[in-house]
Amino acid sequence: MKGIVFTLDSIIAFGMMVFIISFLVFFRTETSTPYLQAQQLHSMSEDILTVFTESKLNEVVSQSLLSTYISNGILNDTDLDKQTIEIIGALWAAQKDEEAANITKDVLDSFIPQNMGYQLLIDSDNVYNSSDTTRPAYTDSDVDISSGRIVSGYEKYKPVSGFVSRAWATKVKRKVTKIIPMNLVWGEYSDPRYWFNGYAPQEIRDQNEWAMMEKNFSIPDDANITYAYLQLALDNDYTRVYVNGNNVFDQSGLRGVIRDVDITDDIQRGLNTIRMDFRNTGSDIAHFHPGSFIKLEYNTSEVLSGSNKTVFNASLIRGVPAANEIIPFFVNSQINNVTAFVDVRDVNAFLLLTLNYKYEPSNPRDNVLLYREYPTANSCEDLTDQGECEACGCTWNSSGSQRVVFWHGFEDMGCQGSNCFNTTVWSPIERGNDGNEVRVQSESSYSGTYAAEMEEGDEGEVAISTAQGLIDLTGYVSCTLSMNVQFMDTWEDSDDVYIDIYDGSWDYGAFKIDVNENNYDDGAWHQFSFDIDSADYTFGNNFRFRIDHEADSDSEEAHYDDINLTCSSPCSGTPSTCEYIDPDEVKDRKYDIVFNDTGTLIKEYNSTDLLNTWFNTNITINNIYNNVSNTLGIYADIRPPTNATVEGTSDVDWQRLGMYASDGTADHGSDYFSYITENSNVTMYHDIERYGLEYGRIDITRVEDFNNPELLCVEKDVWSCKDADLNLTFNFSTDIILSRVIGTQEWGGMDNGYNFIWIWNEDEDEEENIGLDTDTPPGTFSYLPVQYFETDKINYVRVGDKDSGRYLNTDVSPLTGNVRSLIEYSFLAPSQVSYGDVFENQTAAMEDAIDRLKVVMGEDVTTIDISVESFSVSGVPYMWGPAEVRLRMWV
Amino acid sequence: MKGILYSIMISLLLIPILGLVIFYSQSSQARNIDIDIRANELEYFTKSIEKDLTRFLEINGKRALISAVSNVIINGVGLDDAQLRLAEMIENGTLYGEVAPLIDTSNIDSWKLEVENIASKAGFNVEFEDVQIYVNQNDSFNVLFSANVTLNISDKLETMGIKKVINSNALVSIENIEDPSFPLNTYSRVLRFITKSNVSKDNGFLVQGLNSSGYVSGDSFVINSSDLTVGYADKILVTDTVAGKEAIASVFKGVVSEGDVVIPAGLTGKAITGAAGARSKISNNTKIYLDQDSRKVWDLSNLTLDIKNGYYQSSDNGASFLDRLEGNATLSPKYKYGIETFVYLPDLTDADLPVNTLASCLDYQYWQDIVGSEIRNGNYDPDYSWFKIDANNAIIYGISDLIT
Repeated sequence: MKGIVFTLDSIIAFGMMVFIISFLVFFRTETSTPYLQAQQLHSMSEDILTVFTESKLNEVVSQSLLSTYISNGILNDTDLDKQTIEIIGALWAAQKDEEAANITKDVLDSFIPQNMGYQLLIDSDNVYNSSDTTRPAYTDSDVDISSGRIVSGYEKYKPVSGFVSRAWATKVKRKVTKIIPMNLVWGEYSDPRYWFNGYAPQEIRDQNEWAMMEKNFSIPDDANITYAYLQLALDNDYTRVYVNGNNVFDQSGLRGVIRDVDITDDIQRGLNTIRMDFRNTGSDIAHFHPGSFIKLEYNTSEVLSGSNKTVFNASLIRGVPAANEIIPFFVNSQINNVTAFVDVRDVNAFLLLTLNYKYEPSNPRDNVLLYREYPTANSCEDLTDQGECEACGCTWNSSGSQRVVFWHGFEDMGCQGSNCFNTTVWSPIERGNDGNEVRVQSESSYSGTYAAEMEEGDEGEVAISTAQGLIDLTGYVSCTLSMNVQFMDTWEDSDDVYIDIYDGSWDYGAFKIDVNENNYDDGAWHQFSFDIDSADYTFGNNFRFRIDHEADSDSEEAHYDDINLTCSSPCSGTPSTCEYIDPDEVKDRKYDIVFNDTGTLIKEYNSTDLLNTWFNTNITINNIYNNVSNTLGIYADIRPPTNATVEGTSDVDWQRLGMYASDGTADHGSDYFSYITENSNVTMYHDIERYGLEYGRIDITRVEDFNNPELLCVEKDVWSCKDADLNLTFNFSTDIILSRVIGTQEWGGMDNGYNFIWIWNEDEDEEENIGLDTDTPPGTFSYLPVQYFETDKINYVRVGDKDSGRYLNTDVSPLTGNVRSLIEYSFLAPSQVSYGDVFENQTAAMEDAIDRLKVVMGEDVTTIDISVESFSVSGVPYMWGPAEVRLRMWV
Repeated sequence: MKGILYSIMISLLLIPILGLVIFYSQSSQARNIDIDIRANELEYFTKSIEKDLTRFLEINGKRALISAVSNVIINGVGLDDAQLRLAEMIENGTLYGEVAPLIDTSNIDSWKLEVENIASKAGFNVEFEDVQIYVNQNDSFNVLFSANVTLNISDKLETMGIKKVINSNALVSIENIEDPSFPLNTYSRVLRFITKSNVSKDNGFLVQGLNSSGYVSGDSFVINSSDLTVGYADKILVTDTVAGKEAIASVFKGVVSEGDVVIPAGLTGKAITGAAGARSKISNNTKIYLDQDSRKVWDLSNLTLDIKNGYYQSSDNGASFLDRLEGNATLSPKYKYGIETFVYLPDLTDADLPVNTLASCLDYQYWQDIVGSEIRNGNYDPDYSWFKIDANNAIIYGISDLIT
C-alpha cells in the first residue's frame, strides 16, 4: 500500500512539476518574443543595409521600374552599375523624393516580410515609410529597431556631383587681320625745270615711261578671305594698280590724294602680287606717302612658326631713271644681329644707303652708311672739274666731248596758251602789252607736240629768258646754242630775232637772226646755232640766254622748238688714277652690308672724300634701336648728283638727290631704268618675339584716333602736328608693351612723311620725350619707344611733319570705316581666373567664371580683339557629409 | 497522507525556486540579445566608417586633384612635391598652408568631426589616431589615394569597443581633368582635358606591294577587277588586277592591286602593285595612304584620331599626371606610369603663340624642343601637315617607314 501511495505521490508530484514546467514554459514563451523579434529585426536591417551598400542598382531593383526611370531621364545607364544607396541618396539629394521612395520601396518590399513595417532615413529625413501601406504602422509597433551606416557625399538639396569652371581671355581665334604696308618709294621724274640741271632724256619723256613698284605677299592656302582693301596715299600724276594681273585702279591727277579700292575679289590664296605703275609729267619725282597699304582679314588654320629671324624685304622698284626706297624694320624683342642685303641693278653712277637718317647741318653725312658715287664717267670727257680731271690722269684743255647742258622742247606742261610755259625753265616770259604775244602752241612743232610761238605788233617787249640759276657752265670752255625756228608770213627787213646772253650782266643782241634778208620767212623750219666761248663770257653757275622777238606786225610770227645748249668739256684723255669700273661690271652688282653682333652697323664711310672701294670695315655706328622703327634707305640713280659732296640741307631730302644729278647718262646707253630688286632686305636676328607673352596675362590692343585740329609743334614751331590722347588708367598693374602709329598723309612734307613724334604725360612738359626725329620717315607704321608711356595717367602722342600744313589725315575711310590715322598700344592684362565654386549645372559654373574674370579685367574683357572663353569640369563630387543612412524596422 | 503533504510542500518550495531560475534565465537571455545587437551595430558602424573613408578619398581625391590643377594653372608654377601637397590638401584642406578651394571645407578633419557626431548620436565614442594620407600614381590614368587611420570606437557605456588600423584605398581617375602641362607651357593660353585614347598606338601598314609609284591618300574602293566598270577620281581602287582595265583604273586617285607585279604601262595614276591579299586586308571605304618609298598601304586613322582629338596614351617617357602637377615634362622614376599626347600646333597659333615647327609634336618632346621629323602621308589629313615625330616614337606608333 505504501508503494502505491508513494507511487501515486510520485505521479502527482511529477504531474505537478510537468504542469508547473509547462506553465513556466508557456510563461517563458510569452516573455522572450520581443527580444527575439528585436534580434531578428536587427539582423534583417543590417543585412538590408549591407545589400543597399554592396549591391548594384540593377541587381536589386525591378527592371520595370528601372526602365521607367531610364526612359524618362531620371536615371541613366551608368547609374545601373552604381550602389543602390548611392542612387537613392542621389535622388534624395536632388529632391526627387518620390523616385527615391519608389526605389527604396521596390527593394525593401521584396526583402522585408509583410508583418513588418520599415522606414529609410537619411540624416533623420524620411525617404520612405511603409506605415501607410498594409504593413504595420509604426504607431502600432510593439518592437522596433534600426540600423545605420555612414555615407559621404549626400546632403539634401545638393546634387551628388557638379561643375567647376575657370575662364580666360584669348585672342579671337582663327581670324587674322593683316596690314601689309607699301614701303615709301620714289620712282620717276621727267621734268628738268624744277631740279636745276638734272634732266630726263627726251626719249624718256616722249615714251611716257612709268616707274613701277611690285610687291609679293602670301595668304595661307586654306584662308577664307573676308575682305581686302587697298588704301593708296599718292603723290604723282598717274597711277595704275594691278592685283594679280587685274587692273584695279587707273587714275590721274593724284597729287596728294588718298584713294580706297576694294580688292577682295582680286586677292587669292597663296602668292599674290600687287604692282603699281606710276609717273609724273610735271615737277617732282613720283612717289607714295605714308598710308599706302593693303588691309585684309581671313580665317586660317595655318601654323605660324615662331622665329628668331625676321626678314624685311624690299619691294621691286623700277626707277626712271632713279629708284629710291625706304625699308622700315622693327621687332618686338631683343635684337641680336642685323644684316642687310642691297641688290640694285643697272645702277652705274650713284648709290646712297642711309640708316635712320636725320639731317645734321654740321655733318650731312651722319648716319649715311654708304655714299658711293662712281667717278663721274669712265671717260675724261665727262669730268668738268679741273682738279678731278687731272686727278684722274686726264688732260685739262679746251677740247673735249660735247655735253648737252640745256635742252627744252616745250612739251612738259602739256597745254597751249600763254601760261603754259614752264616757269622753272623760262622766266621771265615777256608777253607784250596785251599779255598774249607769247604762247605755247601745238599747231606746228619741230618735234613732239608743242613749240613756243612769238609775235609782236608793237605791243611791247616779247621775249623768253631762261630762269636764274638753271644753267651752270662752270668748267666748260665753249658752248653752242642751237634752236629750230619756223618763220611765218613775210618779215620786214627791219624785223629780226635777237639772242641775248647773261653772264652776270646782259649782253643784249649778242646774236641776231636776219630773217628777211636770208629768206628764212618761208614757213619752213630752220636750225640756227650760235657759238658761245668762255673767252667772251664768264661761264658760271648762273648762265642765261634770252630770245627776243622784234617784229612790227602780228603776222610776223615765229615758232621755236628744241632749244639746245651743248658745251664742250675741257677734260680729255684716258683715266688712269681714277677708279675705273667697267659698265658691265657695275650692272648687276650686289652689295652686302653687315651689322656686327652688338647691334650696330659697320659704317663704311665717315669722311667727306669719296672712297675708291665700295666697302670698308671696322667703323661702327650706334643707330639700331630696339623699340622704334629703324629705316634703311636705298637711293640709286644712273647718274651721280651734281654736287659730289652732298651738301644736305633741311630742304633737300635724300630721295630727291637723284634729281640733282648731273647731265648725261653716264654711259647708260638707251636704258634709262634702274632697279632696287625684291632681293634687297634687312634681316633681323632676335629673341623669339615673346615680349608680350607673360604667364596668365594677355596682350590687349587699344586704338585711339588722332585729334582733328592741326596743332603747333612747339619745338619745331610749325603748324603741322596732331595729337592722340591716351588714358592709360587700368585697374591692374601693367605696362605698355607695344605701340605704333598708323599714319596716313595725303600731303607729305619735304621728306614725304611725318618726321617727329613726341610722347609725354599730364605731369610732364609738352613734347617732353622725342619718339621719332628723322628725315627718312618709316612709312605707314612708326613704332614708339614704350618707356615714355606712364600708366595711370593721361598720355599724349604728337605726330608732326617738319613742313607746315603737312599732317596726318584723320578722315574716316568710307571703305574700311576706320579713321585713316590711328595710334595703337598694347598692354598686358590678367587673363584668367581659377576654378570657382561647384555648381549644379555647367552654365552657372561658366557664368560665374566669366563674371569673376570681368571683375579682374575690367572693361577690356569686352574689347573687340579678345574673347572670353570658359570651360567646366563636370563630375566634381560634392563632399557634404558624411551623412547617416538609417533603416528602421518594426512589428 | 504525509507523503502527499510532503510532496505538496516540496512542490510549493520548488515552484518559486524554479520560477526564479526561469526568470533569471529569461532576464539573462534578453540582456545577451541587447549586447549582441550593440556588438553588431558597433561592428557594422566600424565597417561603414572604413567604407566611408574610401568614399571620402574618392570624392575628395578628385576635388584635391582639380584644386591642385587650378593652383598650378593660376600660379604658373608646378607643385614642389605633388604627393606631399595632395596629402596636405586631403588632411588639412590647405595647400602650402593656405586654404585650398574645393577642399577647404571638405577634408579629413571635417570628415572626422562629422563621423564623431553621427557616432555620438548612435551611442558610440569614436576617436581617430595617427591619420596618414598617401598619394601615388597607380597607373597611367588613375591616382591612388590611401589612408591609414587608427580607429578607436566604443559604446558610450564602454562595455565594448574596437581599436583597429584602417587601410583605405581609392582610385581616382584623371580623365576629364585638365592637364596642367598645357597651360604651364603656353602662358595659360591653351588647355587640354585628359581623355584616354580608345585606339592603339599602332598604325601599322595594311599590306605591302612589290612596286609603287607616288604618294596619295584617299578612301578605299575594294572591288574585283571583273566587276570594275567605272572609275572614281576621289577613291583609291583596291583590286586583284588592273590588267585590261588600265584606263578605268587610271581614273582613280590611286590603285592597289594584288597582281600586276610590274605597274602596267597603261596605268597613269599612283599605285602600289603586287600587294598580295590587299582585298582582304583593306576594308572598303577605309582611308588609306599609298607610300611610294615603303611600297606599303597605310591606315593612319589611329594616329589621326589621337592628333586631332588630343587623346592621351600611356607612355614610358611622357610625364605622369603627378609629374605634370610638378611641372615636369618627362616621367619621374617615382611615378612610373606616364602619359603622352600630341600638341595640336594650330591651337598655339590661334593663341598667338610662337610655334616651333621643327619640334616633335609629342607633348613632352615639344615642350623640350626635341626635334622631330615629318612623316609622309600624302595629305592623309591636311590639318596635320605640320606634324612631326621623333624616330623612336615613330617606331612605337608604327610609322617609322614614313619618316622623311
